[in-house]
Amino acid sequence: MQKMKNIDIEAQKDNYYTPRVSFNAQTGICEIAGESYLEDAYAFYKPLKEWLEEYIQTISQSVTLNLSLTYLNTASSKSILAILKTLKNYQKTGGAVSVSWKYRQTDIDMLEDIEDLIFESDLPIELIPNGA
Amino acid sequence: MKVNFFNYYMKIKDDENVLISYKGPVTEKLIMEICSDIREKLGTNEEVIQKVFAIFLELSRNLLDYSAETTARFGKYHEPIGLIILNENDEHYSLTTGNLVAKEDFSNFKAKCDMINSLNRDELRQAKRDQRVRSLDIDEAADKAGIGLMRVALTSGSPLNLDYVQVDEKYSFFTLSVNIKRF
Repeated sequence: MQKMKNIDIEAQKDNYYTPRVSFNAQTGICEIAGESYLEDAYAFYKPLKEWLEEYIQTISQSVTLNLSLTYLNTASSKSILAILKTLKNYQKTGGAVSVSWKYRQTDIDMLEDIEDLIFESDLPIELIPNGA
Repeated sequence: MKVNFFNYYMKIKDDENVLISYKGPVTEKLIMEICSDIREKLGTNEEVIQKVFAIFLELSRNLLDYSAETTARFGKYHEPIGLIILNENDEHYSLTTGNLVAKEDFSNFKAKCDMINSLNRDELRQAKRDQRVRSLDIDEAADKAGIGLMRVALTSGSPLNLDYVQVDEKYSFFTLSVNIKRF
């Protein structure tokens, strides 16, 4: 069987804010960090979602998604929800999934949006204030 | 075209400070510039800066998606034209965007704003959750502005102030203004 590739994307701040991404097929540890302001968020997040789907199908080990996104535009938030739903489905079929989200303690709006994403995806997320 | 800048200047109230005022082609590059301006100029209250920043990005996204006026007539670029103003007074910051919009887009847009303004905070959060879940199953374009405007209203904690002038049979010019408490 062909080995799955890892994903590594550096954060960028030019005409958009692109978050840093690191998905590791050996450990199942996946990280998305920084600010996500993208015009075509769907195009950016689609390969990440597909990576997770492949990992779930072929490797079928535990997934740890560590998010430290401090800003999400609306389009990005939809894509994150789609990823969370993919993980929720994996969990339903017995997959080991754990998700955490670091956010700025002062950013109540972000906290509320994360809470809403928990409701929307029905997937528990460990909330970690202030990057502690 | 004749623009009465003096009139415009004098209309700004004495107790208001203009931090940013722009009319022209709105590009992603400009939006990023204004973002760094917002972070530099707005003092030290992280919570408030983040609110202004987030609201600005949603409103400017809206402008890019809806503006019916572009620079295409005079150049090779199709850049949407719009108005962006950030004011401050003792109590709040106020962010305003303005642009020309097609009639059918406008009525759609106004209906969304009216709906959002009629909901209390809990109802609005619930509506946002419902719509974001639904949005995964429908065409991306079909959902434009809805969730973004709800997030603006939630982040600002104040109503969406919509003002508009019908320009002709096809177009309206409208401004969307939101207040953000400074403290």
